[in-house]
Parts: sequence; C-alpha cells; structure tokens
Amino acid sequence: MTNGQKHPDEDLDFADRLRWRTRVARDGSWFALIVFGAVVMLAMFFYHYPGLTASSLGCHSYDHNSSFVCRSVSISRGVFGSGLGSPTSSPIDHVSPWATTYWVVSIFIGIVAVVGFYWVRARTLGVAGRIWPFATVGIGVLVLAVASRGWITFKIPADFWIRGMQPLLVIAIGLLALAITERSLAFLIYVIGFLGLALLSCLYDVSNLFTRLGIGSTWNGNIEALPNLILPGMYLLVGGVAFYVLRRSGVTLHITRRRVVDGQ
Amino acid sequence: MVSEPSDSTPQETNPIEHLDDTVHQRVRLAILTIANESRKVEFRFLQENLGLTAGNLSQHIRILEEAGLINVQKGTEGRRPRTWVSITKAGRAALRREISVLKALVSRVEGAKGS
Repeated sequence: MTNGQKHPDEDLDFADRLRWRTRVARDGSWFALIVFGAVVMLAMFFYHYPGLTASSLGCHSYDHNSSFVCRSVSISRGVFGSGLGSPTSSPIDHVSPWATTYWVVSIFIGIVAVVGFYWVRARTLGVAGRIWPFATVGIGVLVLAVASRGWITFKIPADFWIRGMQPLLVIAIGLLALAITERSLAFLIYVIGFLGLALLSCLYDVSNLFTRLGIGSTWNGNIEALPNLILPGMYLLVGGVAFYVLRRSGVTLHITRRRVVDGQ
Repeated sequence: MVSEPSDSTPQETNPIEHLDDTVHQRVRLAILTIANESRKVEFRFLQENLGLTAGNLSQHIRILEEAGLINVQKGTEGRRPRTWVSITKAGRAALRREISVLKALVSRVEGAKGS
C-alpha cells in the first residue's frame, strides 16, 4: 500500500473493498443459524411426548358411550412452569411439561454460545463485531416471553399459542437484531424468511403441508407437531451451512458493493 | 487537526476545499474505514490488511489518536502485547464527511466529463 493520493473514485472503491473485507472477517452469522437450528431440532424430543395419554393420567371410560372420567392429577411443569412451549391448558397432548424449561435454557445457552463464538473470533482474528445488541435483545425478549406467558395465554387467541411454538418467535427476533448489527442484507432477508416460518409454525399444523407434499408418511398421533419444528429447524441449519460455504468461497453477501458508504 | 465543516457538501464551492488532510490520507482513511466496521480492531489486523510496517502504522494511528478520531487501548494477553483501536464519534463524523466530499468530487468530475 502506498501513501500517495489517488483519484477520488479509487479512494471510494478502496474504502468499499476494506469495508467488505472487514465485514467478511468478523461475520459469524452462519454460526448463529447453526446453533439455533440445532436448538429447534432438539426441541423435537419434547414435542412427541409419549407419557401424557388419557390412560396414563388415569382417565378411562366406563363404557363405549360415556365420556372420559379422570382422576385429579398433578403434573410437573419444569423449572419455568408452562406457557412457553408447554401449553397451560389440557395436559393431554404430546408436548412435554418440560418444554418451556427446555426452550428457556437452550435459547439462553444458544445466545451465550454465539456471544462466546464472536468473542473467541475477535481474539483470534483481531477484529471484533458488535454482538451485545444481539445478546441484549435475545435475552430481553426471552425474559419478556417468560414473564408474559400467562398474559399471552389469557389475552391472545389460542390459535397463536396452542401449538407451543412461540419460542421460535423469540429466536427470530434475536436473529433479526443480529442481522441488523451485522449490516448484512442477505442475512436480514434470510432471517425475515425464518420469522415467516416461525409465524406459520405458531398458527398452522405444518404436518398438513408435509402430508400434501408427500414428505414422510403420516404425521399424526404423537408426532403431529414435529413438522412445525422440522421446517424452521432445517431452514436455519441449511442456511447456516450455506452462509458458511458462501463466506468461505468469498461470495459477497453484504451491502458493501454498492456505493452507499456514507460512513455507515 | 480536524476541521469541522458541515455534514452536507456545499454545492457552491469546490469540494476539494473541504477535504480534511487528517482523514484524506489513504492509510488513515483505511484505518477509519476498518474501525468503523467493527467495535474494535487489533493493530495486527490493520497491519496485515494494509500491508504496512509496524512503525508506519503506529505513526498514522498516533495522528488519528491525537486528532481524537480513534481510541487506542493497549494491553497484554498472556505474554503477548495487544493494541486495540476503536473509532470515536468524531471519527465516524469525520469519515462520513470525507466520503461525502469524495462522492461530491466524483460527481463533479463525471459532470464535467458529460458537459
């Protein structure tokens, strides 16, 4: 590099190239997608819960025409109770009573893992990104979701929370904060796509879609809820791998190649 | 020294008059650009990406620090010394002004070519 003065156009191109190189160096968005993709996929263990059936709860019918009669049961709802993942109403479903606890713990660990990854990379490469807005928004939304879960199930129509998929929205909002701080248009668009899938999973039985498309065999019984996790989970994992591969191959994914510098 | 022209580029005067020597120098423009893209950046990263000797880079960093455009934080990690550079609010503003002046110059040159 020389210290000589160049044509202003060359200076702007030079600044653009440096901006791009720095963004690529500090970018760890792919890691966040893989971590939260794994969090969503692992949640499947809590969404085909075999233990809570009518008979296991002591419910039985005395003859074929009568309705179920159940004895009073007490079910553990885990450390964080119910409402975020685990439904608050009938325990006779396929969601583990520990689902809420799983989501709270795993999302928190996911945030810590992403922050740790950025921290280690900053030490290794010598360039540190702004990661605290993501951690603050992610933990803030998580706390808010846990604190307001009773209000949500009371005030918001059951269509929204009955499938216990609200944690996907918590993840989506955290990733949106990361995309904004990373100033990555491609990542932002991808996360908006995930937000759409999270809303779909909250409001719709994705098993219907899977069945129509011929994916898998029949999605009913205690595996009915799994497609609501498989679709957004796979979306995150595939996106994480794709972003990693593209980053390694040097494909531009940020908004740096156009002349919008303006010091932003 | 950092001059304090307004953020908008004056149309009446020649934009070149508004270039700030502290920022316009290519290495210093590069340091500010990289620092602006990160929370903080290490001396080694700047050196590798700009292809400068340690002495040369130190000189430019000192000029920017004295102008209040960057903060320099020195420390050690284990036995290894580490120097981190972060851009200040004034540094961001100066970079923004420099870029807008450069853009004004480019459009002026292109306008002159077209007429």
